[in-house]
Amino acid sequence: MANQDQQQPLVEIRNLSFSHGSRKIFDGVDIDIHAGGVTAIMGPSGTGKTTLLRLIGGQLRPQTGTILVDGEDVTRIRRGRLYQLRKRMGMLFQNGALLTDMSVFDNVAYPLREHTRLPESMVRDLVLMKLEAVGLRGARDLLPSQLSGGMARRVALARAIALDPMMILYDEPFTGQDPISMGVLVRLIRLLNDSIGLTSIVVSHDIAETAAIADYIYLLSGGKVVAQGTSAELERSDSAWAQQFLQGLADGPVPFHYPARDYAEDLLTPSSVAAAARG
Amino acid sequence: MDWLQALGRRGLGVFERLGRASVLLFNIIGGLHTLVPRPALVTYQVFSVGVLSLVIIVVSGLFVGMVLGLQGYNTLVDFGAEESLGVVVALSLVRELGPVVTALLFAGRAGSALTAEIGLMKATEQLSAMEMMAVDPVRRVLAPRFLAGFVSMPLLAAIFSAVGVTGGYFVGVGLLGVDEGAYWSQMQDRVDLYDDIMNGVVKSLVFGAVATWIAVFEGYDAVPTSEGVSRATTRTVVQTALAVLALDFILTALMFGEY
Amino acid sequence: MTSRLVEIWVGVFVAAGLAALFMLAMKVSNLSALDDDTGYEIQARFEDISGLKVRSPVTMAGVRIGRVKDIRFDKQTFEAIVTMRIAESYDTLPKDTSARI
Ligand SMILES: Nc1ncnc2c1ncn2[C@@H]1O[C@H](COP(=O)(O)OP(=O)(O)O)[C@@H](O)[C@H]1O
Ligand SMILES: [Mg+2]
Repeated sequence: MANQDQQQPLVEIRNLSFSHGSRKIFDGVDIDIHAGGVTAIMGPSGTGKTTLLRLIGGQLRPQTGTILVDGEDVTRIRRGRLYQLRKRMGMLFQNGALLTDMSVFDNVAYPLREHTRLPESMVRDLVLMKLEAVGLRGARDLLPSQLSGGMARRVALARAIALDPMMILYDEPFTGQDPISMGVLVRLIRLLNDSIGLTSIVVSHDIAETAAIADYIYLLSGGKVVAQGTSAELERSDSAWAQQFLQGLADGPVPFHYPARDYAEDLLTPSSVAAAARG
Repeated sequence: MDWLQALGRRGLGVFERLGRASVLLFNIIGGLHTLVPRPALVTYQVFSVGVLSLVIIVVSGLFVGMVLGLQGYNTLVDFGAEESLGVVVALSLVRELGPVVTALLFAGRAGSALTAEIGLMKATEQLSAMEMMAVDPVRRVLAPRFLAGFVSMPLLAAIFSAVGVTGGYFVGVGLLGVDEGAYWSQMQDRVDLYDDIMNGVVKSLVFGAVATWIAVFEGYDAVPTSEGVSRATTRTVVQTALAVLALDFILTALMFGEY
Repeated sequence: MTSRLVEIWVGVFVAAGLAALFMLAMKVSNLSALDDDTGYEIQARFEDISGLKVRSPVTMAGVRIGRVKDIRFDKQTFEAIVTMRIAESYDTLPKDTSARI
């Protein structure tokens, strides 16, 4: 495989441009995702973070540019190959996107039953293992409608790792979580990444949580990468955007000063219309 | 000029949707073979499309048959031809009302449910999630529903007609005193297995395919919001009704017209 | 709803549908009245068949005894050749029977 070479990134995005109709979402974006690390992609609501994940997953095709995933260009790949590649990617959708007509157990078993011919006893063992990893083995018989938002996301995470993928894409895993499930998720993402050698892409606008687990950070704004680096490198960056970002981060852990609120408002102002439209 | 442009845009929009719907149908049919190893997927859909429509079909069939019995008798008795009541009831049901009314009820009962279900799956990203799990939702979600609708419609229509003929019998023979032997034998004499029954079955196969096609397309194509799904559901019912009635005219002209 | 119950219901539904089709074929239409594979065929020539069609009833003294099976055109004589299938039970038609439309 292409990632035998340590220097070769697992995902390599070059000169990516993408528009929804006449609305330009990306304009010449270059991003590298290195194997084995947690890469964060941050930016205000409506910058196209979800869109970027869909592009990496091959659900959308860009107007120009290439997206190499493990050496294969998902923008030109044939459908059969794309489906093979997707079996090695897990995606955690913003709201979990569990299949509502089946139980937690069946949801996690779904990819196994679809793509393997394992006997049911082994499927059961695997599902319980994955559910144990997210701490929800006891919830196996519940229906998705009986889960809280945080639980649903953890079940979705168990489903995403069911086939032991090489990479997981997390779409805003922290949004709308209470502090406890937020902490659980943060630890879980890091833990999964390190214990089973995953590559993780975390899309978020939650600064503190994301920076805490990310090895490398890309900041997106206005369809471009405005800053990138480890949090230490970003600190030295002279990009005003990055400075703002890092100031927010520095003040983030101190809750009663509410400094993050100013920052969030800063972040949200330019695209508040888009944010409102997205509900 | 403005209205001309608006008209043109609408026209193009219609063709564009028709094109997308055709591509989808093509993909669904191309994916049907993947259901062979998973008959349970289809069974479950036959349940929600067919079994759950049984009550409304049986009740409507009974009432339509009874009304036909009453109306037919009142007209025929003026000509002293009330013995032909069975023929009138059976031909109306088998040729027209069975397939058509069943398809209209199907659109309201099953088609709208299909659209809403698929649309909500889209709105809650379940379809996207399937795609990302390397599972093709067209094959896993749409194809079994399409097949179930296609199979269920002729069965529902046959049940509707059979119950209707029985309802006509209750009213005609039971209440109005038409001779029992005449009711059935005149019917058998004039109703033809191929020209009438089989053509009716062909109609309901066509209606089943079209009604389910519209329903799954509208769901799959819905704007992924609550409002979008609700609009799509309405469109399913309206479009199915129009398509069924228009197709019924065309099929009737082809089948029963003098050539 | 357990999958077993679903399967039973679907079985009931399909059986009911097929039974309804069977009833339409046997009790409502004339399938039971004449089986196309039994009986025998006779041919008659006509100058004009006007509205005659395949599967039109063949009657004798107003009683239906069979159906028209095939209609062809004879290029030599410019006549229509009508093939009729007559039910077995009416196998005593006299040799000189003539047909009328
Ligand atoms: N199907 C679509 N058609 C048109 N515009 C879209 C569509 N989906 C998303 N957008 C727009 O693309 C932009 C990026 O969306 P998204 O990737 O969801 O942002 P993020 O995840 O960063 O909040 C948003 O401004 C949104 O309005
Ligand atoms: Mg998003």
